[in-house]
Amino acid sequence: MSEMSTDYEIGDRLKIGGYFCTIKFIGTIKLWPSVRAYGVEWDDHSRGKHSGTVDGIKYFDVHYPNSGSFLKESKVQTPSVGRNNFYKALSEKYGSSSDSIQNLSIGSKKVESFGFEELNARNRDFKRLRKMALRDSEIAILFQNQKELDCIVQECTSVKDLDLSLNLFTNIDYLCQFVEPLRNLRTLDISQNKLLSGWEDLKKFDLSHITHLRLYSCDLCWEHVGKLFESFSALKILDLSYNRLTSVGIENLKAVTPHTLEELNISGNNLISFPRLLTDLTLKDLNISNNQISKPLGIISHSIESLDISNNDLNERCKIDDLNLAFPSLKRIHLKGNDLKFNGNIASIEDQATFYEVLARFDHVMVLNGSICDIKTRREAEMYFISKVINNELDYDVTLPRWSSLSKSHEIDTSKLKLSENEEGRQSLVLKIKVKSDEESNSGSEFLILPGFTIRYVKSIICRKLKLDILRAKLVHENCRGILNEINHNFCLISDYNVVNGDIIHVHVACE
Amino acid sequence: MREVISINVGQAGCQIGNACWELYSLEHGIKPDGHLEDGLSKPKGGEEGFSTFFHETGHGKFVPRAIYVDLEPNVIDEVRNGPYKDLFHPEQLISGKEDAANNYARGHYTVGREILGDVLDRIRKLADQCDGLQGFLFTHSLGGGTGSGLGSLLLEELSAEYGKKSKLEFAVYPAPQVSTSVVEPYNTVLTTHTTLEHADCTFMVDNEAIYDMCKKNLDIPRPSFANLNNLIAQVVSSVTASLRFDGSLNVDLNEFQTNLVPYPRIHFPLVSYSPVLSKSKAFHESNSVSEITNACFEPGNQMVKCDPRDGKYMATCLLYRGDVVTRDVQRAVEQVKNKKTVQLVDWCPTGFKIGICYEPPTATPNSQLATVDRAVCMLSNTTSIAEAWKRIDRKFDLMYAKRAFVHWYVGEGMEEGEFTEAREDLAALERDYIEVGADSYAEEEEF
Repeated sequence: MSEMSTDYEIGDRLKIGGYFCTIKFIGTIKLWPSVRAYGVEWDDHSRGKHSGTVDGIKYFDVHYPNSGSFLKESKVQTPSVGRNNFYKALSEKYGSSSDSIQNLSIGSKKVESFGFEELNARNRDFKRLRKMALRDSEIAILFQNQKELDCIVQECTSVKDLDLSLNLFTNIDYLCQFVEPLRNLRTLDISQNKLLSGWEDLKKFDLSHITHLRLYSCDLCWEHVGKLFESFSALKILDLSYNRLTSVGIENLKAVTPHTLEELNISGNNLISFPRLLTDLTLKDLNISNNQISKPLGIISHSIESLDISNNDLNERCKIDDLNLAFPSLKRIHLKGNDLKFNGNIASIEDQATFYEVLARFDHVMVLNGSICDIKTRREAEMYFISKVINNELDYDVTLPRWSSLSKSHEIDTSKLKLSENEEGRQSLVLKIKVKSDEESNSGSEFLILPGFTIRYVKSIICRKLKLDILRAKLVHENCRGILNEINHNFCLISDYNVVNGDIIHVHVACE
Repeated sequence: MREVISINVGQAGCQIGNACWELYSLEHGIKPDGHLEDGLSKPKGGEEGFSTFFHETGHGKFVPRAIYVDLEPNVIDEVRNGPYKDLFHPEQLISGKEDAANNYARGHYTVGREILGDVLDRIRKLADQCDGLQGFLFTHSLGGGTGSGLGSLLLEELSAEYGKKSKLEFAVYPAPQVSTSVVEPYNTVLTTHTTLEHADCTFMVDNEAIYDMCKKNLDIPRPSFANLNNLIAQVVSSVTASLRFDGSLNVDLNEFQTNLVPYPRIHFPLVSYSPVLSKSKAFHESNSVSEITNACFEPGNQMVKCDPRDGKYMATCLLYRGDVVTRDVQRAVEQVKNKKTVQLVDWCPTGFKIGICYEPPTATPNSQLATVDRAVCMLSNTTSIAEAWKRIDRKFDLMYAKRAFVHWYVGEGMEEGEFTEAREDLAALERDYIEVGADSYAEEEEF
């Protein structure tokens, strides 16, 4: 690449010996006074030697400590450091005519090949080529001038699927200019590129022909995504996995998010809650794995059928029920890697009992953690679950709509079951308690709870029903003789307080 | 012109059949009701290749050239009531009333014989619709009663009736992880003995290997039968891709045999498929041609558990699918060449064939497989597959030494002699594999 020597600018990307880096500094440094030095930040942080500061002089900044180093000009200007342009990369990959596997042999045996002449002919015909996979082709320049762009557009008229992942270009504006005239393009993959510049004005592009966009590991935040939405206005499938998305800043996207979106992948980011935005979209498939989500609250989506929430921080079993409420149409779910506290952590989700329990807690899920279940398995799971709940071996909020649909579909009269056990004089399995709150002291509502519930869980049930702030609510137990007893240990079981059927629980809401 | 009739026998056969036809339909752009997807004027992947597996009726509807047979109605009723019920003609779905109870003898002699005439009639009807029938594709299990018993019976009958037509099999090899009965070794040995001279080429699919692939590569902690079948369907689709799409290697079934079967009895090629990747893992893999090719030579991607490093290759076919370029293939084959573990027998002139199919693989909505741009399927006739026979023979011997469960077979009118006869045949098969793997010059030195 001798013709391109010394043209590097700050912000350019390089691939040196298989490692990617970004130029952060060009000039001389104290250590090497006679040569031009390039200060770079490596994508692979372990490749770095310092943070841009050498001998007390700060030359450049890095995002991660010790991910920077200096390179001598001689190292940067070797032919092995490739900087390709798009057309050349395309011709190299698909255009070469001399390729054949005619002369290959293994040992003394010839390798016979079939169909490769036709394959070569098909590939050489760029005008008809539909898929162009130019991953890792060291493309730094997509086009040099308008004339070259026109040329490429004429050559690649029917390209439908373009893979430009893991290359060296950095300017999103150029990229948009490049793909805008390729009107047959549907799928664009620009993953693993660091798109550092050109974000100022993307509104001017009309990229509504592109429906699939992949941006895996591009260091983007929601601000960038919002700008992308302004031009990519008809996306159906969007992959934003392993970027720098957080739970902040997504609110501004409401107006621009394309409503055509069906599949969204935001795994591997730093989200701590579900983006509220999802409620407004008609997404079918959401992948939010490898984040830090602890609460599935705050959204309801009737459209989502497929959810991957593996490797998050869901840490209680009742969170599963919350998921079922938040995504009523769910058919496929991944829950692996969440600490859902099954039988004191001993049983994992691979265990059959746990698998059945989780399956039964959902209304329509047929694929759980990848296992495809049939109707028989589902019914078996539901029966198992019902028997466990009735025998009080499982914590379950029987006031949930799921419970009534379960008992209805299996024609089990749960109230009768409990009554008959009462008459036999056994300890009541389900407690019917009256709850009276401060404001409406005369009315009071009735709740069904299990003695195995924790105080905290009962509190959450009550507060949800009465719409009270759980943090300010205080429970006081009044037994049949009218003795009041404050319930203050959140993690005790309700049975520890000798609450029996028909008792009254008062709810006090503390003042600010 | 080169039609192939698929025959799915028994529970496993029918369920794999379902998964396969779902995938074929998706790949060719056919909706579950048999009509073309909106916006298509003709099926995807070339008219000629397509007609080998689908028959076009007058109203623009496409019907699979397939037959489902089972001795009990449950599984076939699922097809009749399932999402693909309109794809098939009711005559293509044949079910009996009394099941084979995991008993080869019931499938082969007593219960199976009752519906044999019916099945052969339907097959004849399908064959009449073909201009140039080239052969049959069987899907069945080796361990189940219907799959082993009725499957082998049908193969025998078809070989009498359509002697010159090729008969390929996809046979599910039993595995303890997903076993349904204790007599699986008996059924396997008996059916293998019966079909050994009738089937031209048998692709074995080991449930254990598939199970492990689901667990390790697809991250499914508890794979169900549906998961296994989805993966098997992907493999079957890759093997048949060269028949269904306009490619160039193995355009007909005869070519499969000529390439892969050096001796009539040595007809059990090992199938490897790559990439088997879950959707969540797919982001981190580049799936280059050399990566997927190398993966094919690793035991983790094989459909049968055995170690090819212990054996020798007699013939190898690599079938690429999707977006590949010649240079990458060339580089990948050169890497394979340098592998010490790939040993070829010395008596076979060509060891390697490479083919290409331009259509990339498709993934069904429920399967965990990632949608990929390219894939490769390797069919290799290796002597190491004899390990699979050794394993099943050992299990057979353990039970047969005490004559355990034999009364169930004798009770259906089978003679005990058939057990010993079958077992001896398999012992001979094991010896055959040792013989073909031996170097020919070694014998000369001794002489």
